[in-house]
Amino acid sequence: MSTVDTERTITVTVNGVPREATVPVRRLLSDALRHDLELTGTHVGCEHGVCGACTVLVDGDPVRSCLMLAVQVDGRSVTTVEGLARDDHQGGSVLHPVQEAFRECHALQCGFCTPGFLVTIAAGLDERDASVELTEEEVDDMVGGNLCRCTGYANIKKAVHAAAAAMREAG
Amino acid sequence: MNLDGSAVLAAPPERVWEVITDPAVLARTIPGCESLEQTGDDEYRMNVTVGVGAIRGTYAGEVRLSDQQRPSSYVMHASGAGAPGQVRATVTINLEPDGDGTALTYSADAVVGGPVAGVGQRMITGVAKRMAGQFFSAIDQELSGAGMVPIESAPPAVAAGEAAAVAAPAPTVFAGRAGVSAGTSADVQTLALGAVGGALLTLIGVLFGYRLGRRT
Amino acid sequence: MTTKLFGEPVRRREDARLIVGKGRYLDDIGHTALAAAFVRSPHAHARIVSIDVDAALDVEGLVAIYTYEDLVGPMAEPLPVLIPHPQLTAPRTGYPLANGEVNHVGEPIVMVVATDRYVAEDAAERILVTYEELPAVVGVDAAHEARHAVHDDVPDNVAARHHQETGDVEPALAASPRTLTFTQYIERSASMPMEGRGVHARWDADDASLRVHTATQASTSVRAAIAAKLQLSLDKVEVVAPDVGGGFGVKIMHPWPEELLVPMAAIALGADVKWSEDRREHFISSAHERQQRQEITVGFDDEGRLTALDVTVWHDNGAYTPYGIIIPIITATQLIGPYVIPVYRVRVDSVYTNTVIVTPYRGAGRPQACYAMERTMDRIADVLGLDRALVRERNLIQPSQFPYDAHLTFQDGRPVVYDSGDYPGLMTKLKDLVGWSETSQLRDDAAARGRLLGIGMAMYVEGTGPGPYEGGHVQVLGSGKVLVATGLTSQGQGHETSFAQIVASELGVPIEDVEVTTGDTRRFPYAVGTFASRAAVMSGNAIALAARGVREKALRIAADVLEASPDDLEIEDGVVQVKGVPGASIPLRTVAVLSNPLRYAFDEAAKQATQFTTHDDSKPPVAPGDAPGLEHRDYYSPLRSTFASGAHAAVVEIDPATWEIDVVRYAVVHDCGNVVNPMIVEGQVHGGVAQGVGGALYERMAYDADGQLQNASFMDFLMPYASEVPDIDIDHQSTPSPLNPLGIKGAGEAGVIPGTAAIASAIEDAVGRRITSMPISPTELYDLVRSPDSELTATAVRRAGTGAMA
Repeated sequence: MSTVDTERTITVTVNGVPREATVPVRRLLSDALRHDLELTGTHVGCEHGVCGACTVLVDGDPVRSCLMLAVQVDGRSVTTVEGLARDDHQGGSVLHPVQEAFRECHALQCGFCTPGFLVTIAAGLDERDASVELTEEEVDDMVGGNLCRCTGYANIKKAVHAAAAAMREAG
Repeated sequence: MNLDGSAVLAAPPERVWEVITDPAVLARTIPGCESLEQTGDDEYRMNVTVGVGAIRGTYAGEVRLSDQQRPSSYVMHASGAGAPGQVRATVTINLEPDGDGTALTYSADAVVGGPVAGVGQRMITGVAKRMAGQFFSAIDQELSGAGMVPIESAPPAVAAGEAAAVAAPAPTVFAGRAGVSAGTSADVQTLALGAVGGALLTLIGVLFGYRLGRRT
Repeated sequence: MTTKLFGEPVRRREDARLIVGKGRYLDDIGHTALAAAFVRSPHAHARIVSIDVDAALDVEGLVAIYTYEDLVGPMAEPLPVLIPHPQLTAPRTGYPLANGEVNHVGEPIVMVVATDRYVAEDAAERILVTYEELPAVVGVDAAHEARHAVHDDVPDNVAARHHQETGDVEPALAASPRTLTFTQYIERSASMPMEGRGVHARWDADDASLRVHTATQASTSVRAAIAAKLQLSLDKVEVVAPDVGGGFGVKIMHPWPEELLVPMAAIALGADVKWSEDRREHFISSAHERQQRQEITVGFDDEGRLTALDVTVWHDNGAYTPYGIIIPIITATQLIGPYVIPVYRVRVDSVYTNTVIVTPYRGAGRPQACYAMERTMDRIADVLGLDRALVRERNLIQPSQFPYDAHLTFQDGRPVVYDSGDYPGLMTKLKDLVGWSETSQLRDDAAARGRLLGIGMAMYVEGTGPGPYEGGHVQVLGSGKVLVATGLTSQGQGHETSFAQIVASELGVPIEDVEVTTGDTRRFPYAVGTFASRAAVMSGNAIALAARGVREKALRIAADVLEASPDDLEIEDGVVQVKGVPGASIPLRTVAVLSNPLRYAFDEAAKQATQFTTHDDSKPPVAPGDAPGLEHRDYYSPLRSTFASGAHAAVVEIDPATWEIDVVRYAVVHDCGNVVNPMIVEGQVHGGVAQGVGGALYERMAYDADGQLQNASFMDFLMPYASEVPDIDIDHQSTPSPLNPLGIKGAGEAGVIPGTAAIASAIEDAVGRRITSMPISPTELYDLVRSPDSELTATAVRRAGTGAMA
């Protein structure tokens, strides 16, 4: 008797690039991203959906990739932290304002929870009208679902403000 | 390391001895046996395919018998080698009457070497015991009349008569699982004897032929 | 561009890779490695009767199964007692795989190796272990009662009796005008970094060498342990700490069974093996800390001045004592805080329980110590009807009293001598920062909104930077790059930046040219580790000394070339120049090239150093006693620990309908001497305060009487999200350390130390009921306030008498 699971070949657009992978059907999305597609920026902190370190965007929405099966994203698009920077069409890339803000505001220490925060906040900032000033409630909303053990969150909140301000300025 | 075990078989020792000396029986009861070949007096070579977990592959083993006391005991010296490891073992096999049946006990003293020795004692002994268990279940079925396979015509090289006529025994090969039978010469009997103990022990030896790095 | 970066909030170098997901944490490496998983004990205390692996053999992809019987030589011996102590009279440790007995839920029994983690877990699930359950001992009270023993040969469950005293406390108490006695509890919590533990091992059969990556705080010591246990020569083992996702103390413990077993399997199987724990494993098989029962008797006078202090602590050390009695010692010695205590006695019984081992968690015994001392000061103030700040002020060690010998022996085996500090200064700043004098106004305002408001404070002194030493290596390459290495490790403290700042400042090079490596035994083999807020103090100073050595050599070589005296030279922006003579200069990278006389010119730069280019026939190319290369290695070994200090205050509002506790204001005054990077230090304080709030209100390891951990997940072990952490006001004070060249003191643990004490004080102030156990939840607070047995504070009684809200 063998315990090899049924496998399935999935096609998923990850950070704008179509990727194919053949995965056991029970493979978590977090593991598929990290080990099958070798995008190790997404981290696994708890595997039960509480800490948010594994957050990625599926079709633009923040999702706990440790609570999804890889086969569930077949035919869909996924954005990970590796996909937040934009191509500058000159051979390099431009960081997303939230990434810049995190560095500027010292909003990360060990960096393990950081990708989950970046992806969630980027989604939050990208979907709102940048010209409107950011409220504390919006900040709380964007950072309230991820755990960080290092920073105490103060600088993370600062970074959200800084990123929003940068986006407002960029027009 | 030591590996001890036993089995209760549903026939008296004489009958058991007969069955386990039948090479056709052995070829189909040794788990994974592909072929048995006599290479000298009381010496045999066999190829066995093992397929449990990562202990997997086709391995060659050699067996030599000694101290035969029909129908109660014999000793077997076996060695098996594969790319990642080797084993040498001495196995004592005893058959004792147990009511209408036979209590067979085996006691193996083995030295395992090479990388395969690194998979942990419980895995090694676990696989060995499992295969021994499969072997004895199959023998038991033979004893109760089940599992007999019709004799197919053998290729000329292995015709019983010819084999018996050769002074220096030509290599006699028995295909596994296809159930090709052979003759009943003394050579064949010793071959068969060697086969059962050898199967057991080469089995163990074979299990130790383990290939790692199978992952792609 | 200035290169004097010491003290500047330089943005972090490590962020560049971390913000784009290019960090390299343990589980990110070794994609093709075999995976290990463990069968762990489901029982808190049991004998192992049998282990049946047969069903696991069917799992496709299984490679190996190991039990205790597979361990040979030193691996079959108990795990080491890392820090022995004469008072640790009954030390006990486990085995890498259980040897017939398990003493806590989570103890590893069988290791499975398979083609991937999913398969390994499939196989592990099928392994059948049968047990004979034994009675479990849970909690310090049960341990002390000793109706059952964790270890048969330690029937009273006492591993150690730690005892220190500065005089004869009993007569001193008897002679005191007033005394009071009380008992309180603080409960178990844990470091809980966002990244768990992990080990990756690679054995190179061609040269018989082992390379291990592990998420550790002590790579050199792990290396030594692996070499010893696997009987390898030290030079055949290298250990590297990759990017590590937080430690907070739990990763200082070593060698974990897994740190020995994974390399063992890699050697046995001739294949890379990796283990990366999941969160539940972390809960039940790493380490916890904090639980203590404290019985305190204090003598004082009518002014609130301390006359004598007698403390008895029962400390829960869990099932084993691999880390010795470091936490009891730290509690015992740090308890006295910033106060003058004429006579002090402390006795700490470190007791066994059938629970996860107890090893340092940020603070490492200091939060408990602070809780004991500060709650004592609160009670004295309460009894006397005095302001809690005033009572503290009356007992503070004064600036003129430094160095202050407390007549105690610290965790480094050296005397507790406070080197510098200004405790009255801390208090003044704190009262100002939090608005201590406005509290009755705040209380009234809150009452008008239907809320109970309370304020509390706590002060602490923290011994930091214990030895024995750390080292630094600085090397300038011909390319201009400056390589810096130190052996201790990083888990987010920004060492790649702060150490680069030190070198940039000392050497006069642009920080962009400086590259720092930590925690890699290949780059720096002598080290102790990252703990006890020591990295900046120890490695910072060692690296500074190494950089100074490089500078001195550079100036010597440059002086020769420029035909000047070294005293007339300075280095700025990576260029050595004669002061005041703009044209007379030589780039530091060229000095590096010249420092290594060559026969062969590999590139343009090297050409300058070859024998036909530079020659002085009267001297050998490398002078006696000198060495080729522009590099220097140096060490800092402290005479004693250096003592940082601080004071926190918390304002809480409590909703008398739900009894939810909201920390509405949190003030920190922090003194860690000179500061390398104030942005990083502030970040450390923020993080520490969050853990302090977590420990005060949310975090508690909930073991049941059978030793089952009921909240082994983030769903039930509550850690603060952003919504639970208050805004923090921070003020700084700086009393430099006279003990080290840079004048710095440690800052890593400060934020968490007084949290529980300050918040307990604030809650007690708000509700007027004595708080004797922390953490406290809204439900527990509700029960406390309702209970006829709970003690009203004297302050509450007084306030009730005056008609003010109690």
